[in-house]
Amino acid sequence: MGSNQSIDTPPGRNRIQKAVAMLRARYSPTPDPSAVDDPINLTESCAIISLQQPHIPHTRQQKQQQQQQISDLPDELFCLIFSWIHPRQVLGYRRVSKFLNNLLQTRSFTVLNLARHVVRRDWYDQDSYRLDELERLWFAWPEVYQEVFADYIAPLVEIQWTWEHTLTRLVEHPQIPKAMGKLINLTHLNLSHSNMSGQIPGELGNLKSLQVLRLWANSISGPIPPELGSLTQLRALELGKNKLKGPIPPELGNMESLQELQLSHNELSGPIPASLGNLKGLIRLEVQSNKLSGEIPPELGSLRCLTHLCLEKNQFSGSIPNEFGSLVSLWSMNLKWNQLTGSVPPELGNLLNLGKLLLRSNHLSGTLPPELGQCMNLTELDASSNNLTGAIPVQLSQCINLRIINLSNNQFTGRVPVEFEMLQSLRKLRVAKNGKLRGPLPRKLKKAVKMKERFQLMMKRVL
Amino acid sequence: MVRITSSDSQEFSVSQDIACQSQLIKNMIEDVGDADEQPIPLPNVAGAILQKGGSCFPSISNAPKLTLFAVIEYATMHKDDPPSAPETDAKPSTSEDIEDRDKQFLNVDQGTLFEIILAANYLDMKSLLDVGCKTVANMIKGKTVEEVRALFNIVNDFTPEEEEQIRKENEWCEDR
Repeated sequence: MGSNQSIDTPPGRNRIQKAVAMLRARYSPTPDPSAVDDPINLTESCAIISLQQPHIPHTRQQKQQQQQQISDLPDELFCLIFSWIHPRQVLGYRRVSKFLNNLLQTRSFTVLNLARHVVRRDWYDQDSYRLDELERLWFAWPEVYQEVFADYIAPLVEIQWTWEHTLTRLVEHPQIPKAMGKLINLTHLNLSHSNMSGQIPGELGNLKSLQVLRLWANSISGPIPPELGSLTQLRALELGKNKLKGPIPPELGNMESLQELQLSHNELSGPIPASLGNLKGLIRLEVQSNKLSGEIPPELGSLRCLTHLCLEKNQFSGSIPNEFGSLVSLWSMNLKWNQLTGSVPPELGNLLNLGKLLLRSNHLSGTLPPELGQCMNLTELDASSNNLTGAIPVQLSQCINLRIINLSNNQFTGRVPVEFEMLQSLRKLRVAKNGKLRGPLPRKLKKAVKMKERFQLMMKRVL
Repeated sequence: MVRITSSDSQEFSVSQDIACQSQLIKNMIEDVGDADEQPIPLPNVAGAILQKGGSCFPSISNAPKLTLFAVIEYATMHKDDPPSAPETDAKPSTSEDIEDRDKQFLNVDQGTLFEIILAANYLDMKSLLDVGCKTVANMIKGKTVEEVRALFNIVNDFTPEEEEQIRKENEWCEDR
């Protein structure tokens, strides 16, 4: 090859050769990066292509003896060919071979493929918008597709998985894409009843405009990502009826706009973080049917807007915090089926809006505080299956809206106060399984038609 | 006129507007000037294409055909095309958008088709590359994975477990 360098070439020819060598380096299927810069290599390339020289067989040229096969094409041409197949189908060919499986999931192929078939939108009609076919497929695509496609739907403000979407069953086992974190304009994300599995990606913490996040009734597993705590615009976080495990992250206490925290029916464990007491605007706190334990943090007492507190069916222990007497907006306190001990705090008498006080199936002891008589709006009192003692407070007769009183399965003594006759709305009074309670029942209660049957049955043992 | 030679030293003389449909040749001419009378060598453009197929070139049906010849044929056919409008996002082109004359031109055996696609890629002829790739894509479309393997002699190199895994991930597109 050395002798080639001494070939006497005319100047014009030399220029062509240089250009060709340059292009050769650019277009050759296995480019040699040194070919352009290295002068010796350059000359060699010129020699190879020189017309007077016999051809030095190139790998491709050897193959020309046989028919060209698709596998002889360079990757970029594979990409070009498959890019013409719609994203709806093309990923099905991942299964053809390992090579295609890898190629179809490269970023460059994805970009090309989506650019060919997807119209980029810069505007969505918020009110009537429903996810289209591709947007639903997004939930099942490989990660690289999800990520690139996110750029196409970045203007989306609201994502709602509707009932029709579930019926069409386009996607059997959708997951929340990590790339969801790129849709920074989202204010509403509602994927309730959408058969989602997998985990909640921490990337959702990037959605700083998000106001509503509902993932109710899916099969989402794994932990609640602490990153959600940075969603400071969020008003509603609804993750109930899933398979979430692990603790409630204390970071959730940073969601300063939160009004609704719904984590019920999961497998969450550990305590309620005291930081939730920072959520001054919280209206609903529902964590029922989990495996939460530990003491109820007294800090929750500072939730002045709270109307609904539901902690039922967990393993909370310790006593009901006296601070609950400060939950001035509370309408429903549901602490059923826990392992709470101690007595019912008299401070609960301050809860003038309280409509439901549900304490069933705990280990509460002591007397029922007479202060409860101040809860003028009380309609349902369920303190059954505890270890409550003493007399049934006559003051309850001041709660004229009471419809249901269930004090069964305790150790109350004395009688059912005759003043209960004043409770015009009372539909249900249960006092069974209180061994030391004596009859007879107040006459008017007996006459109450609607409860007569139930009543007589229940009262047989105590009369 | 521009003189170009294929890798098997066949020389062609074509008018400049035809030759310049190849961005590669166009750049070369611009780089070196057209005063130069040396032929432009195209070492990567396949030499002989196979005897069978290529019936769309009746004029040379009995002689060993050259990919370069086919490409020149295409360029001649399209020399009066208006410059292609830039693709807009609003209306993406699909693989169905192939002119009838191009369909006929590309009605060749697989080997020839790939040869032409390679040449179009090397010569940087976007329109030919696009119709070539669209044509192959249309051969693939609607076929099952097994049919595609058979069509292109591709060996399935997955273990049954690996294949099953992908099938599972692809549930959403497997049964349609």
